[in-house]
Amino acid sequence: MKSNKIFRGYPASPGLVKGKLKILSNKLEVVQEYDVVDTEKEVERFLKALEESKKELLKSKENIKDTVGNQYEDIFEAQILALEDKSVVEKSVKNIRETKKNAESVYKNVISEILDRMQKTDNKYLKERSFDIVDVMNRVLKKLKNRDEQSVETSDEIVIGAYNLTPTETMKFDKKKILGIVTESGGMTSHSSILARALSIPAVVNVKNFLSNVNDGDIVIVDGYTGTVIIDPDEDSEKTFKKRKEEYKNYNLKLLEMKDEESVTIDGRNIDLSANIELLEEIDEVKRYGGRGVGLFRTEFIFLEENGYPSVEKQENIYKKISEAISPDSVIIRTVDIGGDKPIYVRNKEENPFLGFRGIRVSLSNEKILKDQFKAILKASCKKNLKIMLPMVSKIDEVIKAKMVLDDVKKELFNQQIDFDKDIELGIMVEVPSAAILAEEFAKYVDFFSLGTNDLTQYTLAVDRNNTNISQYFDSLDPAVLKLIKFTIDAAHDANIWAGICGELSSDPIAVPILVGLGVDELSMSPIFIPEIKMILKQLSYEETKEIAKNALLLKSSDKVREYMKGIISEKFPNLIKYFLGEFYDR
Amino acid sequence: MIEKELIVKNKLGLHARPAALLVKSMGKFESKIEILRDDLLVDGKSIMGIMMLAAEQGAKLTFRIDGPDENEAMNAVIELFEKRFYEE
Repeated sequence: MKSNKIFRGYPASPGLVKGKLKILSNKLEVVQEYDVVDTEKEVERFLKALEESKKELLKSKENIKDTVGNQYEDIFEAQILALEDKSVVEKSVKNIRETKKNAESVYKNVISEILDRMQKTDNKYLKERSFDIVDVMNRVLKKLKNRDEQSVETSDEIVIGAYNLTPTETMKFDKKKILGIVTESGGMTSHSSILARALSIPAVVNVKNFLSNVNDGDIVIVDGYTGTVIIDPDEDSEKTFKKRKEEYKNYNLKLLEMKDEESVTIDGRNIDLSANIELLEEIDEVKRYGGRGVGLFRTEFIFLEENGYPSVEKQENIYKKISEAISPDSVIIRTVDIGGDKPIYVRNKEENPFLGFRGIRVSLSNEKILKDQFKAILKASCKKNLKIMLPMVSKIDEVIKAKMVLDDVKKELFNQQIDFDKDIELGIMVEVPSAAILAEEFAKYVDFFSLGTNDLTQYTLAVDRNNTNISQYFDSLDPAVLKLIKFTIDAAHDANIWAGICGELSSDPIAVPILVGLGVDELSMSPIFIPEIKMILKQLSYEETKEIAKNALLLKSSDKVREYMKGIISEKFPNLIKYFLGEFYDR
Repeated sequence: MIEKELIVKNKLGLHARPAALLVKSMGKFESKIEILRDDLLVDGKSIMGIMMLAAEQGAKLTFRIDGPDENEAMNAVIELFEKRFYEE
């Protein structure tokens, strides 16, 4: 009898896949402790479990050598060494004899001590990586517990199950081997979700109590369109899966046919649909999905890789590559926004990093960072399609100071007779309420606004977007947020500059008619969503969206706005509701 | 006995892969190898010991090597650290 356990989370990255679950966990298996009479027999049982585990690892190592490459091979070697570690084996054997307890409880105690020490570090990477070791220890513990279920090898096509994934972890995944991702924590806008979309790996996040209800090797269906996860699917679910998969495929093919068409409303209002990206590897996706340039090029990765201080040359190289690849369309490069959940410039831990030392605050207090980045962007700007955007701006002074630094760098390059785009546009992210409220003033100093709706929502509603206890409070369709968006767009147009949106809201089908009606000029999103939003846009008229926006802004809560918009969407786009907003597996 | 302080240079620190390289290399020598970080002293031939150090980039580790091939062993350690465990 198939258990067909159904879980729900947030649909973080679209796609529908079925695979074997591989749990990445930093936690050791739960084991029972009991007394044993024949300790020698227990020692023998322990050594045999080690031996068998080693054999399995060696076999997997051979299996994947040719298929995946030696990055994983090295991990297996480390795991085998950990398995054979003399001090651990000797101590475990000694303790079995002395305490007369069963092997799994003794072994777990011995390694727990070591793992605790390992995981005590503040270094996030080392902490996360300890699951390589936990993984092999759990293999032994499972054997001793006689729960020798089918083991999952990296050579299989797998679905990763984890509590959380760091961006570095997500980046390491081989797209061909990792079919899907399911995590217990995280939200639509957390970094691993953004990267899952970038790598086109279907993902469902924020699935409560997932890990305690599943086992390594379970068959799992991941529906990244609806946020549904099914463990051990029964025949009905399998049938639905196959049918939906086919339907999604046809639907997506149809969407892709519009790739080269203009993104205009029925009555001729053009709205640029551009891409949010972070890696050069994503340029192909921008083209594949018909993105109109890059509306947000995040530079955090470049800085994190070089511990906060990448050289001008390294940066210039990257900016030049993206400029050339995307030309004649434009690329908006956002200066580094480190801080918040990615602290590397802060020495002492902050109580409230999201309200702390991040974004432009860091770049201005450490002028070399800003200067180097401006220099690199300017030196790469010969094709005249680069624009600069400042993150986390909350005061006019910050813009004035940044412009002075930019002017200094321009002078320096001019004196050195280095060619650059003298008229390069400078804009700001509007993501702090103060910037939205003072948009009229800011508009006098900059060439464009781009609304970062994720942070704008979190700061306006006082809701930490990564705190799963209060995730129901986070909704960018809240009338307060919508009013700030309207305010910002109106101020931009009054000053004859343009205003775009680069937050997740721009790819939410429910929000798009409102945003269009508020007069937005550009929507920037993960490339994968562009075709769908284009399809929606092409069936709307600007005149009717103005009416929709007006009505939505009169409503008193985000729930009311959602309800109103769901009505409109289901009437105008019945397929969309069926495929993306419906509840497939509910019976 | 010889002693030398070395700084972890590779970006990701001594995670499983570099730790394995170090253990494999040290296993070839007869000498006793100990690594000290602050107040924690571990066996340089034990991967679990090395990983317990949780040595990130910039961490200072003191290597104490004692035995007939201590010089060769120390040179091997220095080379691995200098070459950043072949990670970048």
